[in-house]
Amino acid sequence: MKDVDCFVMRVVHWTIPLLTIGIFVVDLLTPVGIAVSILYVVPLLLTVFRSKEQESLYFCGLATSLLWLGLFLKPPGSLLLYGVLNRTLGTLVLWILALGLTRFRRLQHESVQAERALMSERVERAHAEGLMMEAQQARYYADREAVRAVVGRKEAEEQLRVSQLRLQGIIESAMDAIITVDEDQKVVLFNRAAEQMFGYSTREVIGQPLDRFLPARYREGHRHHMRGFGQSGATSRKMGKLGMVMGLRLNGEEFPIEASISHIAVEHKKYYTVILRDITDRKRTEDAHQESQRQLSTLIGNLPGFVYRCPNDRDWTFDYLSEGVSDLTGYTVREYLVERSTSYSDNTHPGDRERVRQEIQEAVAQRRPYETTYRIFTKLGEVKSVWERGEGIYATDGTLSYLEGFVTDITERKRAEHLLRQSEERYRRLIAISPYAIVVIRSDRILFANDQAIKLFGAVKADEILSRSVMDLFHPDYHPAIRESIHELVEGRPQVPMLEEKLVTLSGRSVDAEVSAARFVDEEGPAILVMLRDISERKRLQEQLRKTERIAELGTVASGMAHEIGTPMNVILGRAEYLMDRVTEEPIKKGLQTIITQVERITRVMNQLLSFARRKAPERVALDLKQVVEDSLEMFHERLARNQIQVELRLADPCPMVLADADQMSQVMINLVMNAVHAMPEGGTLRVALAPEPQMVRLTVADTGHGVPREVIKKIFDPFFTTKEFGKGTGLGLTVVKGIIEEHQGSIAVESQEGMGTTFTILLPKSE
Amino acid sequence: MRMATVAKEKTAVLLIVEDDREMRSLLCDEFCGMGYQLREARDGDEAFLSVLQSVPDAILTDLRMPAGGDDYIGRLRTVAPRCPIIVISAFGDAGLKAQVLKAGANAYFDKPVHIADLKNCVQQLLNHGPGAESR
Repeated sequence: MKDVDCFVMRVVHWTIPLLTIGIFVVDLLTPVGIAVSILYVVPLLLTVFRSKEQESLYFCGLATSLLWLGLFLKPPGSLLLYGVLNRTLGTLVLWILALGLTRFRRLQHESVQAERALMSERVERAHAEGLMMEAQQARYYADREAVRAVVGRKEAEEQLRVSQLRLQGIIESAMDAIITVDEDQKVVLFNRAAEQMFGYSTREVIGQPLDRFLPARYREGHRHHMRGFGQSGATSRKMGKLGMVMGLRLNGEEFPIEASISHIAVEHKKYYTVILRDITDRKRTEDAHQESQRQLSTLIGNLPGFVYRCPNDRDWTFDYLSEGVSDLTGYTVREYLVERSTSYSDNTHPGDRERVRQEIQEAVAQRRPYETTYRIFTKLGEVKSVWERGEGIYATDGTLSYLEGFVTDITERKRAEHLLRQSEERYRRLIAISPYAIVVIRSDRILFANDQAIKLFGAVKADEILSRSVMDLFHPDYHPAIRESIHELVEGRPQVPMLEEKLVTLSGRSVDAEVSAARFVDEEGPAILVMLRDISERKRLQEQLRKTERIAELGTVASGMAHEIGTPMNVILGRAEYLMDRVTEEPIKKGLQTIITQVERITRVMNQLLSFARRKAPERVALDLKQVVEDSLEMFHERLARNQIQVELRLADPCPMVLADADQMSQVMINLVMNAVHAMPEGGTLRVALAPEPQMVRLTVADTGHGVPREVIKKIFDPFFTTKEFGKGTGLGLTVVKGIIEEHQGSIAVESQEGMGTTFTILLPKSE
Repeated sequence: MRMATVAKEKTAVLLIVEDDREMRSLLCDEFCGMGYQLREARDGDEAFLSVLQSVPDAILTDLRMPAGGDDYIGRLRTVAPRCPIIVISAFGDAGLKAQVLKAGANAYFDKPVHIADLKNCVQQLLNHGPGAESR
């Protein structure tokens, strides 16, 4: 296109004068009437191709002169007027054309200029490397405007001025610092973000070298880079590819920056524009991220075990594995991940493999973490116990991506646990087989009881006594002493001395026990260890021995006494009978009969005493105690009435039979009623009750008499111990009673309150 | 034999051995009323002498008294081999009873004894005892 233009220009250059001269000559030669001069239009039109705008006008002036000169030079004729008119018209046409061409040329020139401006803008835009479109735009205009400012081109057009203002705004409000320097590295543009970043004001830095924004050690290198960049073909690039770029603030602080640079040549001068971003924060975040990565890898490296990631496949083919695996299994990460020469599934103990798989599948199915222990084989064939915890990692669409978890060696722990269990088992067994009943109590409640204790308290299962109050299991008589002991122990006394106490079993049976207690403290606080030993047997033997001795003594005494009273009684009896045969008066006969009956009674009692003293074995048969009770009371009927004693009977009906000797039971009743009568000289109430108990029958004889003092009650069953007036009691009654009851495998207990009365409670075994 | 015949024909002779005066008196009163001829002894030695003098038809004796005791019946038996001996002892036991019977006593009673029982026993022994046999 340009070539064509050039050619036309050259042709027009010499065509116009030749054509003009030719037309002038033809005009001279032709008659006046012919308007050849109009041909000047042709060269005039050709001037369009000439570069100068005014050329058409100049040529038009020349053509007008030549046209009129031709008229003067021609011989005038009749057609002169016509010729003048003709040429006037031609001149008019020429001028109109010339003016039109001139205007056209001017318009054409303007459009060419605008086109050129558009073209260069396109070129610049192509050069710009985009961080941001707006920034690029800004840089472009900034370059242009800066260049214009420096070269003093003040003739920017209105359109560009508006654009400049807008771009100025963008530059000033850009988040990134924008600095433009000229070839000598002197600052020509410095935006507000740059002011904030470096701490200088624009005024201070315009015309100053760029160096001041760099730490001294980078300056030489930077200059070198800039030169290299200027000479390179590229118009823009990112800085810092070769290393971190640092900035220097006015206050001397260095900071990391990210920068990109572009250059532009304006009128053979190079301008560099740098866009800078302070990446201190990003750098810090990156550093923190790196640090946390490092920490994580250190932590993983130090874990006693390994972490893994694997798909949920049969072999647990690891995707990732920490180094700890080689300590645990003896296989290296390489063997698992690269060579794939072993699989973790193979390392798992066959006995545990399926179970572990199942546990993991269940957990994964329920989307919960799994936790399991199992055995593995190490490379050396050792068996190790491991503990694993992990969970499924799910993709955003909910499918299971892989499993992640941690495995650690618990062989030692297992071994320790095993040893602990063993030792626990050993101690547990020691406690279990201990001949002592052992009970642990805390705040009055039973926490633990060994087998012996369970047996001692008559329970079958521990539950029956656990969490019961300790007081429930001791005889009420001992409660104050026990409370005192517990108090002392809780207050810090390490142990209390062994005491003899009486327990009450679940069935209500009393058991003598030796009790010792010690305090200990565990994680739940202070507790008391109580050791109990059933000493009933020992007590019974002791008692029996004592009784044997007593009875031997009693036997001697009784025999002697029997002999002593036998004869006088015989005299009384005989005399009464003698008189009986010789009197006829009924009252006397009745009196004599009473004497006889009473002697008979004494004889019976004496015989019983003797039989007891002589350890005559009771003849035990199934016996209805009710009958015995009624007979005995009948015997006392008169006496009770005389002493104004009310009798209250509460006899269970039917009441189970007991296995007992009738005479001896009668003797027991007589003794007890006799005691009651003696206790109530001023009258009162005698309560006799008979009630069934488990395996036993309970007989109670209670009076409302004067009661027995505490110190006396302990001796109440002792032989020859009596509180009765001399001659009134033998001191043997209750001894005999107790002896008889014990020979019947029963028990007798007494409770008394001074002034309130005394209650005897007898338990006798049922007959079946 | 002769004596037995005499005893049968005459009143039977009863030796009462008892150290307690009241008891002895009681027995005497009772058996006297029965028509027996009574002889009394206050201890074992007197009884022994009495038997040596003449053997009674029956001996009613206490056991625990001076010159009495365990071997007393045996000694008495040596001098009166066939005479019925009835022992009355205060609150004896089964062992004593067996021992006394073994030593030769014909009957044993614990004191206190109903006199009627005693009388029956004496009567029976006199009727069916050695004297009866001899008849």
